[in-house]
Amino acid sequence: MPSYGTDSTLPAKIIIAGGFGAGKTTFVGAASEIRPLRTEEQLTAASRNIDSLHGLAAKSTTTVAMDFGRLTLPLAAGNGLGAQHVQLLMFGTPGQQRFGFMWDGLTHRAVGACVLVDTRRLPDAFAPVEYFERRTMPFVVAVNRFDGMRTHDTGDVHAALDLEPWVPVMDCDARERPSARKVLIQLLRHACDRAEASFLTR
Amino acid sequence: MDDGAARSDEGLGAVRPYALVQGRVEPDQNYGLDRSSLVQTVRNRPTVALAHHYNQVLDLCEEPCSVAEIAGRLRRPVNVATIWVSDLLAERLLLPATTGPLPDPDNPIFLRQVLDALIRY
Repeated sequence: MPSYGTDSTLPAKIIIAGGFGAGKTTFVGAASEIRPLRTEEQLTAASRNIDSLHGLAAKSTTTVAMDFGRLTLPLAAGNGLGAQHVQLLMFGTPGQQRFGFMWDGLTHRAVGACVLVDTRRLPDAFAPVEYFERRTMPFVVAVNRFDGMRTHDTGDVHAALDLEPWVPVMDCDARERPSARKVLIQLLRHACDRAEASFLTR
Repeated sequence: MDDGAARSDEGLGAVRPYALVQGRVEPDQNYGLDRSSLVQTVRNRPTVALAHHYNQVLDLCEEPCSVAEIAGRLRRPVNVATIWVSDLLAERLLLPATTGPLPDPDNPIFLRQVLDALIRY
């Protein structure tokens, strides 16, 4: 297929997860260079190749809405990747329990995830945390401090969520661009450290 | 195609968007597309008569744009946007914006470059 040849942009998918009201939409809006968009996807649980009427009746289709935002960054020259830019694609996803069957498609080839936590509803974070642990996908936990409210420190959250020692937990204010960017940097740093460590021991 | 009426349709009802892809639920050719795939409109785009929604996609993709963003901006399901993108790739009106191989998401060189880019930002 012909292409520009001169300029290449790599996608980097990042999942923004968390319970209802944890600030996913706000976070995507703060981190994104564009006004956040709403995307809808129709997902089918059963095989697409079933052509009997019985098979059709057995399919279940769900429409899932996601927040979408992006951030385009120039890559350093001579990066060894053959690309000049990267576009961080941020997908704010609905809670995992209702849509468990479709998360594998959504998280496929993601570089990592950020689990947003509202300490008033800490148990909402269990499902996404468990999911990313099982998938061994790098993730960070960001405690959204609404209006500077401080009820638990990050150590308490780390313990309450029973996280592995290496999982970073940090405070953030999902409304603030610099704060959202710090979370993304922490996530990439964590993903990078993990990838470099496993590369060395491979 | 009466696309004006379709655009005034506020929701993503099951029927209207799929009328715009001739009832297809999957692209004719997949090109390995998913919601994160980046595409870009060809330079010096030829003037060919196209359905309105194809022109909307081409207008959006003057800069590299993901399938998810196309879907969000045109307020259509991602599945529908994927089919439109596939049609336009087949016509060589869209091109992949990622020209080299896609690095694995756990490729340390890739992750390090993205991290450095974020820090510089």
